[in-house]
Order: sequence, then structure tokens, then C-alpha cells
Amino acid sequence: MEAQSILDIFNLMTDGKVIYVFHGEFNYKLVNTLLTDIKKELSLYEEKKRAAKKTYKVLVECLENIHRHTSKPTIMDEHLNEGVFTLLQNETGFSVVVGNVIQSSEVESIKSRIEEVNLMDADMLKLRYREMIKRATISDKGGAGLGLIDMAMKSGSQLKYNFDKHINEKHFFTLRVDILA
Amino acid sequence: MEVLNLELTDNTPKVVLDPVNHALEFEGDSRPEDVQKFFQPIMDWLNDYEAYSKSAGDISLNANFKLEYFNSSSAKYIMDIILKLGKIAEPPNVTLNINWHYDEMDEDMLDAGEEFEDMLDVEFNFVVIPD
Repeated sequence: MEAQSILDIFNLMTDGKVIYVFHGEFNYKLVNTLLTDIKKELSLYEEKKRAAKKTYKVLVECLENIHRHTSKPTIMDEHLNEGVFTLLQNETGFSVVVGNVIQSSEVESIKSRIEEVNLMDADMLKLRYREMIKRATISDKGGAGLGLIDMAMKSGSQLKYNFDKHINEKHFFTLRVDILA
Repeated sequence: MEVLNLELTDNTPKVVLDPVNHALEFEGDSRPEDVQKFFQPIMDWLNDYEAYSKSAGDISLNANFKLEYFNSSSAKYIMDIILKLGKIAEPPNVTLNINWHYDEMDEDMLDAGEEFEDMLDVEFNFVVIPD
């Protein structure tokens, strides 16, 4: 790492916007510990209580998604169960940004699911949530397919995303959710 | 029938299912590691209770939901629980009261209760917890 990089990290961490940063392996135990810890941290934001509550809910879905969908490491691959997330605050609310490595073959389906959610207004999201929960069966990865809809409903904003090419048929998937007060 | 009693943890709610007092309680956060593993014993208990309630005379069944948060995979099971409560209350000897508690600052939890009520055609009493 260049000497300048650590200063960049320091500046990023101390500009008052970053509440939490984590990078590591997203196993369930870790996700549970992080969520318990951040819930306490968020409860300190008395003046933004409503947004803080919503942020916790969005964060649970985001982190559980990483835990469920991260490309499973094999002996050949390194760093593939890793993810990164940051929790930021702005004047009125919070932002959750999560990133993890996925199989390149999953890019199109994730992208189209996000795009579909982004086209819906609050009423349409509610209707879709109903449809989905009625016919939901818990998938083998443990989700009910409601996560993205839930994030959009709770945050009240569009889901921002990016896919960057990674190594060996893998992509790095970034998801940003802005939670409005 | 036995009482089912699950302790509150960081990621699972406190659950008390009491067949003697006909009182059911769910309280806390629900984001279990394995939703099926967590909720299946609750569904099994409710199935047993459904059979038991038929021959238990006049019953006033009280269900209190004091959930602070539930994740999207728990939502499906909570819906199944409420559906089952509706079925249990079909015979004329059973009167069902569902109290859905929500924090004053948490309109999402109120919305969620209203959605279940509307979707499942089961009446809820909404109880606000002042901030």
C-alpha cells in the first residue's frame, strides 16, 4: 500500500460522514455481531430516529444478502467470501453501501431484479410485496425473494448499483441504498 | 399440551405459547439464521393447538405481537402464523384477539400489521407504544 493511501483512508474515516466500515468474511456469526452492534450505534441518533430505524432494517437485508449470495470460495479462489460495507450519514438520513464478489453469470439476473424494483412506485412495491409473500417459498439460500423490494419500500429511494469486472468469471457487485428521513 | 417458551436473543424473538391461558406472545427482533428451523416448532405447536382448541370449550385466544423488527424471510412465517390463527378461530367456540404493537416512530411496523390484516382478512387491534 502506498503511504498516501492510508492518509486517504484516515481522511475518509474522519470527515464525519462514515459511521461504520467493515471488510471481511461475511459468515452468519459475523453478520449477526455486526447487526447487533450497529443497532446499538444507530439508536444513539435521537434526532434522526425514524431514519435510523429504517436504516437498521435496510442493513439487515443488505448484509444477509451478502452472506447468502457471496460466491462460495473454492480451493482455487481466494478472497471470495469477502465483502465490504460502509454506513454513512448525511444531513437528513443515512446511506448503506455494500460490495461483494459474485459469479459473473448472476450479473444479468440481479441487474434485472433491481431495475424492475426501481421502476415501481410505493403502491406498486406494496402490491408486488403482497404477490411475492403469498407465493413465497423460502429458497434454499434462506431468502423469500423479498429482500430488494423490502429495501426499496423501507428506504423510499431508488437502489443504486454497479458491477465491475473481477477475476475468473467473477464480478464485484456494489449496492447503495440511501435512506431518507 | 405443553407451553412453548423461547428466550429472546439478538436475532430471534421471545416466544411464549401458553395453551392453559390461551395466550400467545411474540416479542423482539426476528432475523434467525435459519428461519425454517426457528419457526417450524411454532407452526407444529399451532397445529397441535388447533386440534386441542376444538374440544376445549369456549376459548378467548389472545395473541400479542410486539415485534420490533422482522426480516423479509421471517415475514412469510409470520403470515403463516396469522393465517393459522384465523383458522383456529373459525369454530364458534374460539374468539380471537390479535394485538399488534408498534413503536410510535415506526410506521413500517404499523404498515406491516395493516397489510397482514388486509391480506389475510383477520382483524387486528393496533396498540401504539409511545416513544
